[in-house]
Amino acid sequence: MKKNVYLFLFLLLYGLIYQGMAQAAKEIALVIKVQGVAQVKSGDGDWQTLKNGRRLHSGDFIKTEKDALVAFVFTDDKSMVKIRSQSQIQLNGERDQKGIKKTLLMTLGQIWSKINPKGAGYKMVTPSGVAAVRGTEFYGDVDVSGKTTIIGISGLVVLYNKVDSVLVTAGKTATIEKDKAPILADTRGFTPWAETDDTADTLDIEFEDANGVRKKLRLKYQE
Amino acid sequence: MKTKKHCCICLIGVFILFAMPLVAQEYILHNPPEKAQAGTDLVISCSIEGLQTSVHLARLFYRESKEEKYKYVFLHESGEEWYALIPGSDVQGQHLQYFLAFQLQDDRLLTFPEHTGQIVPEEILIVPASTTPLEQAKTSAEKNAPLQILTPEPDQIFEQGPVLIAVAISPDVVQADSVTLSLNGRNVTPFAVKSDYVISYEPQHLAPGSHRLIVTGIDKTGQRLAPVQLFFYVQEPHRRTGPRSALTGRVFTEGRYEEIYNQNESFAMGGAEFLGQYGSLNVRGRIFLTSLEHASLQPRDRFSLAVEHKHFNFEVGDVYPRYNDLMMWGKRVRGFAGGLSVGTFKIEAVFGQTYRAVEGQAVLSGDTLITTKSGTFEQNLFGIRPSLNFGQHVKAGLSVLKIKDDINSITYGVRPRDNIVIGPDVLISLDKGRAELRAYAAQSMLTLDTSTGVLSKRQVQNIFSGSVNVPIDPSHFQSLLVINDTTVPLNPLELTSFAYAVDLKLNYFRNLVRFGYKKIGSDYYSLANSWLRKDIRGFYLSDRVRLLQNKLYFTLGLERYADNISQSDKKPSLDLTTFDATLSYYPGKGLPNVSVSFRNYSRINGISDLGISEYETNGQTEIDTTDMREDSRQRDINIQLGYQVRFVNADHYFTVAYITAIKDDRFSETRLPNDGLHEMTSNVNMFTWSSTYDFPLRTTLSFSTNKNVIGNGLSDFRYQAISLFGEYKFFKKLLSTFAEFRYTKSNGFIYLSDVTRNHVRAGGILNLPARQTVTLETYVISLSGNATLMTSYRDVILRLRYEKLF
Repeated sequence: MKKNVYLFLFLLLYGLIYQGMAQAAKEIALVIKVQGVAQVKSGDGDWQTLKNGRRLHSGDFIKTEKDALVAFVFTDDKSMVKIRSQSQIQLNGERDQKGIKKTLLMTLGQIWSKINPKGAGYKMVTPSGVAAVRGTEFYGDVDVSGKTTIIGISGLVVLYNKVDSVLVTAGKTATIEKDKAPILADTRGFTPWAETDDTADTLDIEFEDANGVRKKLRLKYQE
Repeated sequence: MKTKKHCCICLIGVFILFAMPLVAQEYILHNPPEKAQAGTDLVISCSIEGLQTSVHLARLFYRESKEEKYKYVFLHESGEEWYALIPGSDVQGQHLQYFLAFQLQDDRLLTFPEHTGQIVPEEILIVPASTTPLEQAKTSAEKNAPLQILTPEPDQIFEQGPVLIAVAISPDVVQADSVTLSLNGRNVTPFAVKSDYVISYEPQHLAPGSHRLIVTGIDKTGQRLAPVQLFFYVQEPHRRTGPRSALTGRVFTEGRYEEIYNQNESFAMGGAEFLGQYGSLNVRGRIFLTSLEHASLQPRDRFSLAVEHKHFNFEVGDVYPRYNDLMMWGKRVRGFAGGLSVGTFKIEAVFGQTYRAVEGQAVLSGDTLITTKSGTFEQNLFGIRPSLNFGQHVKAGLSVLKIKDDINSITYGVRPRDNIVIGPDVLISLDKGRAELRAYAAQSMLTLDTSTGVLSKRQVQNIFSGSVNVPIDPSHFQSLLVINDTTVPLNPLELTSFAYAVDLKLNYFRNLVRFGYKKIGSDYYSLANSWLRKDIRGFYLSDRVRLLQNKLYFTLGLERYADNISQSDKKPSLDLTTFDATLSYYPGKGLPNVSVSFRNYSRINGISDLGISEYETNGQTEIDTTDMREDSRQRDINIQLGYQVRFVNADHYFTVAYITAIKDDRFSETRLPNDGLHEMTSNVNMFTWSSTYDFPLRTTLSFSTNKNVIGNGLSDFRYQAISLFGEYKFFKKLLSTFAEFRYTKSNGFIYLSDVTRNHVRAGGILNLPARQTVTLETYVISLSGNATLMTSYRDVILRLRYEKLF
């Protein structure tokens, strides 16, 4: 009986330590700013209110309410991400020798990322395509139909799906829809919001398509 | 008796002169930022190494490089650091110039950069805000350290509330348990949340002001990692609500009792000053009142109120306008000053009183009234300066000044004066302000005595028997200037009252090169800048190099001036040449710092022979010998080493200094008897040990020796001095008490022999809530000796001061 108790205690302790280590190993980012209402969900747990200082683990989901903004940094290379109101993402990260290989699944919303070029790699996956990034600053937008817009600020983003790919550099805007080739144009009339932490839920982008036609895109989200 | 008094004053002067270095070993440690972002608040931080007393007032003066006036903000203490915030609205233009000034409790002034009569301010580049994200990205890309501060960013400004501090740990390199967080010198690691990857701490209520974060740790091999540190800033509450408004300042009152050389005097003073900002308006005011104010003396009280806007400014009270270096540069004027900018055009004006009327005295001798004490005429000044500002590159102005004594203001006064000065100035700024050329000129006319009134052209020419040609009729211009036979110059076309100066500044490759040339005519007078040295011509060239992240300073300077160039007083022209070089290395805490300076100063008037004249007296031929020869060279060398080390629960700062001055006279062998004081050697050796303990005690021990030999041994004077200072803070630093004892013993011969001086200073500073302080301080200085012309005495000074900062 005594043996069984010791065995039970040992297994319990081992389980707790292992669980702690596993959790720590998945700790990939830290929330440094929460404005408005945002929630986080780890694994099969419930949605919890997201607070400043929260450590984010691989697999965590984040969603933001109206007029909210969340900023987090990855703990390996200080790459920073800000997501605006009414956005939904899932973080995934895999540690290796170079740091954390980061993958952000984004189903809806607006995002700004500034990625350290010395990092282990960063991908943003949306319903319509993939943005692969190394050492750059860009804005991203995913609307309810899954259409993705990438606005290059510095560095280089490769936006692709199974149809085609484009390179988005500073001053360029690319849009991509599911099963359609991405379209590249000059960025027009875009006001960066990440530096001012503006949480407004509309975004006006004026751009010129490949045929030289000017278009104005207003992105607005409602629940 | 008078001689004794002079001798005592001389001795005191010598003591003060040589005792000053005993306590002048502190320096301000400050690494200027590389650049500032336009429109963004800029935090400037510094510390004082080897501080041996308390700081009374700390301010940061700044200006946009093309501005003439400095603004200031107060520096606030936080732990061992001092901080100030320059509002983003003032971070405009191409360069920002600033300097730090600490007024210490014992009335000394510490500055950064160190001043040698004139401060050359630090200058930092202002970059447009739009470049910042890229710069930040670059900075971010460079960060890949084992300990990486995730938040806050360096110099980040937070509103009041919780501040998240987080540090990423590289688990393959760092022992996670060894990581410590220190906030403002306090270990906050026990309150932090730790994992293998991140350590974070979120204080809920940090005080407004700046804060210093230091992160330390040990790597897997057991080696201590280089500490990572940064500063961040927490704003005052409600700082950004509504139109930006802020009010800072201080009020104070002080009473003093002084018993100096058996003369008693008690007086009181009080005042206030404030800086305010409301929206786009800056407001500042100052009032200083003292019981020493008296109608029979020049004003000692001061008051002013100024309102400044981008397009206009207005100031009333005691104003200190700066129009043109040669004409008016900080002269006190009691009156009004203002300026208005419309597009490229700007006009400034000032009107007021530079001296107030103080009546003289006279006695009646028979039927004649004889002035026994000349009074001071009320002197009024009017100045105007229209200027054009062509963007960032060219500014040009024309200044006109009229200064005149009011002849009716007093009854018993002599030689009322009248002065008019006119001059242009231009500033050309190129390559984002890295190259700047300033040039200014001025022509003056001064009438030394207007009491005889204006003369006509014929009268003036008659006075000079036709030897002077007056190009105008003075009586036609008396509203501009009263012209008579005392006017200099009578003919402005001779340009003896013309002055001009050119300054060139080049800021490239971490070198700040300055070159200037000036010539001031012998008859040039501006009563608004009466201290300007005239009858002089020459140039200066200097270079200041900053290396190793501004830790290494190297300065070189050369000045060459010819004095008395007109030789109007029949004296020869004097060539003055100064060369100086300084190397300073301040690598930061924990490493020794060194400063070495050399200065060579020569005076040569070109006369190599004695002047011998013969004259008859009582039928005898006498010979009069005059020695006007001057060919001397003085070399000053100053070597100073400082080192901070920690042991026995205290930070100790040691300073060793050696100062020597040698003055050689080329004609020392052939000087006349009793004229042998042209040569001099002086050596000072100093040692200072300042300690700051973990408990609130600070101590300083200083020792110095000095030896002076004048005139090849004709006079010999030496002293030894020891000084002890201690400061202890009670009741969680609410009460700070201090005491200082300085003992100085001098010996030598001629007048100064075997004198002992004891200097005791003691007091306390009570720090009350709401940034109030009460200071009580007393000095007792006693001097005793058996010098031939020296009497023993004891001086006592007692002061009580209340001050509130807001």
